[in-house]
Amino acid sequence: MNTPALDAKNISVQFAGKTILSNVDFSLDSGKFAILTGESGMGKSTLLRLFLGFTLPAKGQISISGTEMNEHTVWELRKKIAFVPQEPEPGEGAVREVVLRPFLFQANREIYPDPQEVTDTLHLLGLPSSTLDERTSTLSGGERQRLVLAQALLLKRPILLLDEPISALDPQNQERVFSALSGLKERTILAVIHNSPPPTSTPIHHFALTSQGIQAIP
Amino acid sequence: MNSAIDISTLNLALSYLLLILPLGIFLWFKVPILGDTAIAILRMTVQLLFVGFYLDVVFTLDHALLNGAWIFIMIVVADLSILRGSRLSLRRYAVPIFLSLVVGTCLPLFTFMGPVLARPSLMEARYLIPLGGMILGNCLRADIIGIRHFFESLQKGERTYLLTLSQGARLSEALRPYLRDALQAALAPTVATMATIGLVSLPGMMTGVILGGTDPMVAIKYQIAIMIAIFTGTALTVFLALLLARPKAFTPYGTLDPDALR
Repeated sequence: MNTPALDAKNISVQFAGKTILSNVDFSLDSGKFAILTGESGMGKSTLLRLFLGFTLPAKGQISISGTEMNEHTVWELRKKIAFVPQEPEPGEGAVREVVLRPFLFQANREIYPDPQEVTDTLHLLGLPSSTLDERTSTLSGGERQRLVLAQALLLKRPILLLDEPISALDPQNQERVFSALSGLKERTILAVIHNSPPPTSTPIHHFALTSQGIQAIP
Repeated sequence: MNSAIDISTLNLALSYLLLILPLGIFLWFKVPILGDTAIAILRMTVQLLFVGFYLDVVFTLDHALLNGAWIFIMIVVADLSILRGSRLSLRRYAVPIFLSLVVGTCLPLFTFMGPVLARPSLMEARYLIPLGGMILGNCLRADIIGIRHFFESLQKGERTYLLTLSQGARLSEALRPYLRDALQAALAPTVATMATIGLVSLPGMMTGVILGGTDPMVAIKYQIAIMIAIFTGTALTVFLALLLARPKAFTPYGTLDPDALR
């Protein structure tokens, strides 16, 4: 049996006395592309934060590619994941500089992308090369989303966690982004979305988060 | 050497009459700091009288241990003021902030006392206490600005910070921009003071030395040395405070500990 890339066992999360998730199980095999839907406030984003160690469960266990997450493993486990948060704030500065900022970190220096790879990735997501000459503060919400997604793709991590990655995009760009994502080989992708996904060439697994937990939707 | 002329108690009391003007303005416009101002004036008077009497004793005895104890007390009081001013928990941060103040104050202070002044004793009260007080006072102000700026910008920019962590940054890498901004905010006032000193205002130390009857050129040398000591001290203190407070402000997962601030 394959070791799941993402595994949450019997997770409960409480925040300020309120239960966000209760005894939730979720598992996603390596190489799969899945979307997670559910009403707002059900804890979809919290699930993504759990896999990044930004939220800690009151109960249960989180594992990434078979390694249990704890305070000692979390820093290494994060290097397997690229994350695109909802309404991302990539930091102030020129896009040309901001897009390459993650590659100044010791963990990513060896995969510093060349300029062609950067522009190719931006084009793949429907951003023109001229975006590089802008400042992040002048970008629209959708452009910022795709800028951070471009960073995530350039990081070449085996797992992608995306929180509402197409919420600020028009239908054409939604399709473009999902098509780019489904074209990625050997990546595990979990995208939280609130609307139905655009059509893609590869099958997408659909999960729904309800008060009963997470169920696979056929 | 001529010393500054004494001010009689009656003449000093007359200077309080000047306060009628600002207090009158506050009353007229109902500025809601009348009570605070009255308390501040009272505190200033009582504290300075107390320090005056105490320093009289300290200067007369001029005992290294007693002088050192006074510097120690000043650092403890500064430590508590910083914790209160930065909304930091006393239990968590008292020791790191104290250590940062000890290094930030003592290193430039003893450089001043030793190589610069070349006095026979490093602990001579007449120099140690006023110079220590000037350096420490500036460290206190810079620490409060730096620490507040660091935590406030981190809370405001939490989304960017977490994104950085998710992109593989180590804690030190993710915190670097916030540390840089905090240092800049804390040191900008000292840099601005250095750039305009002598043109906009005659600084306190120089004024004091001149009033004490010393030649202005000597006063200027003192002022240059103290400005360098203050700048070095504030930079060191803020840097060390943030460095030493860091392990206590974050969870082992790199997220800001919700109990870090009061």
